[in-house]
Amino acid sequence: MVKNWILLFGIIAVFSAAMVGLTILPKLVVDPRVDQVEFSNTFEIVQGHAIYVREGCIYCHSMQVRPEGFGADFERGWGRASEAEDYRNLTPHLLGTMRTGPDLSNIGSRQPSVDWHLIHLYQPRAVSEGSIMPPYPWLFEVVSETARPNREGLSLPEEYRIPGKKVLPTDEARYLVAFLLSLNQEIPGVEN
Amino acid sequence: MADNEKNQNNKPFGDEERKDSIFDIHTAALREAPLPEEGNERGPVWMYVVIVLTLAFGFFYMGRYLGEVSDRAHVLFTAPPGAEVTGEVEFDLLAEGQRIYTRVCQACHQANGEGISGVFPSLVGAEWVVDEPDYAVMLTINGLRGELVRERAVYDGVMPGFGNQLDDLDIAAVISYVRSSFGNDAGEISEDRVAQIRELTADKSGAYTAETIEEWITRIEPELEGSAEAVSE
Amino acid sequence: MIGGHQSEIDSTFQSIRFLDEKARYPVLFLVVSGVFWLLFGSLLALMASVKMHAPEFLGQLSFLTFGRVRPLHLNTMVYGWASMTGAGVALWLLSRTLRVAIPMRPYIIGVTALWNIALLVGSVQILAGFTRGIEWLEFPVSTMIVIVWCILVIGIAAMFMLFYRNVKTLYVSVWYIIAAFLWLPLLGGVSSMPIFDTPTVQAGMNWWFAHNALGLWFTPIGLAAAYYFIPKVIGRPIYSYGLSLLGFWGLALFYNWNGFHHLIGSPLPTWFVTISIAASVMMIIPVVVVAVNHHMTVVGSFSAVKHSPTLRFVVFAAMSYTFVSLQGSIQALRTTNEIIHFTHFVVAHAHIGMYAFVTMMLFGSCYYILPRLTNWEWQSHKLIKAHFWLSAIGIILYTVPLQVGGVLQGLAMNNPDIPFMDTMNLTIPYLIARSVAGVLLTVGHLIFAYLVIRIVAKVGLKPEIPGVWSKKIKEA
Repeated sequence: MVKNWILLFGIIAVFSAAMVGLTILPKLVVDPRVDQVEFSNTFEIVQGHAIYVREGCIYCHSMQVRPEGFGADFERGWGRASEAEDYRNLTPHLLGTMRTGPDLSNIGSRQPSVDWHLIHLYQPRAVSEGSIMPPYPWLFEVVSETARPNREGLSLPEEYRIPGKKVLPTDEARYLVAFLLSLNQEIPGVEN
Repeated sequence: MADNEKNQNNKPFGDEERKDSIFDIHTAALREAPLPEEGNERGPVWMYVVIVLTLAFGFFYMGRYLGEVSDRAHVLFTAPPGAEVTGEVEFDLLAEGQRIYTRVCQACHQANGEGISGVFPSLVGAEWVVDEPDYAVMLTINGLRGELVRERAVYDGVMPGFGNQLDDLDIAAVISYVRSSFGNDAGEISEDRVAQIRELTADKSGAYTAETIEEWITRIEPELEGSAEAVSE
Repeated sequence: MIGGHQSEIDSTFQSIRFLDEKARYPVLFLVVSGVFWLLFGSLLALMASVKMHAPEFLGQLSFLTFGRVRPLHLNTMVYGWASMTGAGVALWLLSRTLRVAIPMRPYIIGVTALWNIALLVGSVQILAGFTRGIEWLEFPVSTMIVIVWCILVIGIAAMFMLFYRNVKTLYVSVWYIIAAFLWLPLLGGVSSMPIFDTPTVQAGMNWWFAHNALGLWFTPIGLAAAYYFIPKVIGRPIYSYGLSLLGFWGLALFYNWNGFHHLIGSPLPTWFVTISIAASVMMIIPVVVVAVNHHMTVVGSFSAVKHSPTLRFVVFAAMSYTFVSLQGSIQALRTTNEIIHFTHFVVAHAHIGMYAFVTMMLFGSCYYILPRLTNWEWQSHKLIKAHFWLSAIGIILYTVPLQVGGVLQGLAMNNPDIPFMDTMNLTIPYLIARSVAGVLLTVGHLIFAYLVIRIVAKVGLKPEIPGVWSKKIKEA
């Protein structure tokens, strides 16, 4: 090649075509559909989403169920295939590409126990033997048993209890659990 | 600006560079061979075959799997026809129960049904599961909270209700599964029984406590027909 | 093409001595910064890798949790090590192939300093939890824009070199580098725009960006280096100019459309995904063409890899490129993707691309460029060999077990009778193997950093002969 303009024009042109095709066009196609849905995002859910992002849960948990017949997502009881309306329109997106841990699209209906989630976040191995999920102790505070008499500590299994102390979830932990419990495709924005 | 840059760059060596010996300047070049000019071979025939085949496959793939130009996802995976029919023919209450247990119960009550002492009660030989399954049906529908003493451990947690999520058949299946697994050896629960209990406790909102579940069971017991266990033929 | 040999030893402004002299400070600054981020990223990588099989390791510290260390590892390696060193190598290659000194040198040094500061700020932001939360784009938008702007300034310098060149024909390396310097700021700009406010659409943009950061920025720089160093070191011409053209325009045409194959089965409209899969398959064309072109250039002179550290790294990298790209094309198909999606297979695949191809290519380039910039020689042949074998064995030990583990994990995941916990448990031995491999790679990086510090600081005696492993070859 000798001419600058052939090179420069070609480079820009191929890029622009793909940019329109894979970012602008999907936006034009998908956005109107999502805009039709009302999302009742409470303060807790929005905050919990931010904590989910902050702690990088996405690097081990996907949030997209593949359709029946493609993989075994349906057979594992993770629910129907995800649709664009299932994400409460919260960004950044949390679709994820890794399943070191299970898919969380339907965790709110599969595991609706607040107790379980709190213990699991404080120490995953307390309720899930052999798990390699990291613990999130900074979402909890460990206080003396006598402090704050009106609040119950987490009921941990024997080996994770700290004598004379109780473990209280902070607001952040409760927001995160509120977000996890909101993940429920059984009550979708749109019927499919 | 660019012009200035260029002039500056193109200026021959300044004075300080002249101090370098001719030898030094030349070693830089002599230590490497010049970049040879490109050849212009055509390449092997198989390469062109690969190119043509790839193009052909690419366009075939697009044509075959494009589906439709719309906003629909999962276009290629619409529900396979006939799936429901085979499902009914091979329906197995306990297998279905096991699937539900793995999905919604196992996280707390654990894969062996033994729970975690002091945190989640065991289902193995549990009175409310094996002997009086009506309790199990009721608390699965509405949930259970508050203090509960079992096997010398005190439990004080909240079990959520699954009545919205699981229908009568699901609840019958999962309780039947629990009753016949983990060393338990009791019979199946019928869908009708669950339906009856659900109807009779329709007024109850929120979770039971250990006391209120007793109250409710005495209230509805006279109206329940037959025994809890389904007659197995 | 490039003028005759005469001008290379000519003591004028086009001589390589003059060009290298002018390139010294900007390129050295970029390379040395890159090496710093390589070491920093390696440390994070080791930490993240160990956490995968020992979850309590450093588990009590919020800023060192896996979900923050892992993205920071990726970002420092991508925007620190590979981008900075890559930009430096690209500038040097342009200066050589266009026979013009690097312009805007103070500006380049300035933006490199700014780039380092942005990376530092971004690192603190991610560890403190202020992540943007999008894979490959974890730096907050403001930080990312600074980095893109730095690359844009270096790209402007590249454009000046293109327009004020002293050669008539553009060598193939130039096409790739110019394209890279245009594509990355465009990609960075588009991905930073606030218009992607719907989760699904943002996911599409996310993977389009992430795949093309590799495809349109690192791959062109890596291929440019291969196209320059292979013929330069072995002294044989590139096999075919026509194939170079075909390879370049094939990549430009098809690579742009890749990315959505990371989202097969996701709620994105099916037809976009299908187009992207088809484009991934079409990548076979440029890859095979480039592979033939490189192979036919090297064939017959293959023994040169025994004597030249540069060639050894570059040939390893070029072979990895062919392998990883063909693997990628197969991976994109729905049938294979059904198994390997959501598993460690993809992580290993990404490391063949970013390490076995891009990083090895940059190592090879550094071994050639640094003696010319510093006018000094590498201090130890043994250490260079040790670095090569640690890196090569390390990356093979990293990827092969992890891909095997990934396939097993995927097969288990698609079998609903296997409890989910078992799909994770069966990967543990492979994750431990990865940590071992990570140690090997890190030791290699430490050796490389040591050598770079020695040559930049001009420690030790200047060796009498260039650091070639054989006098038959004119190379260092």
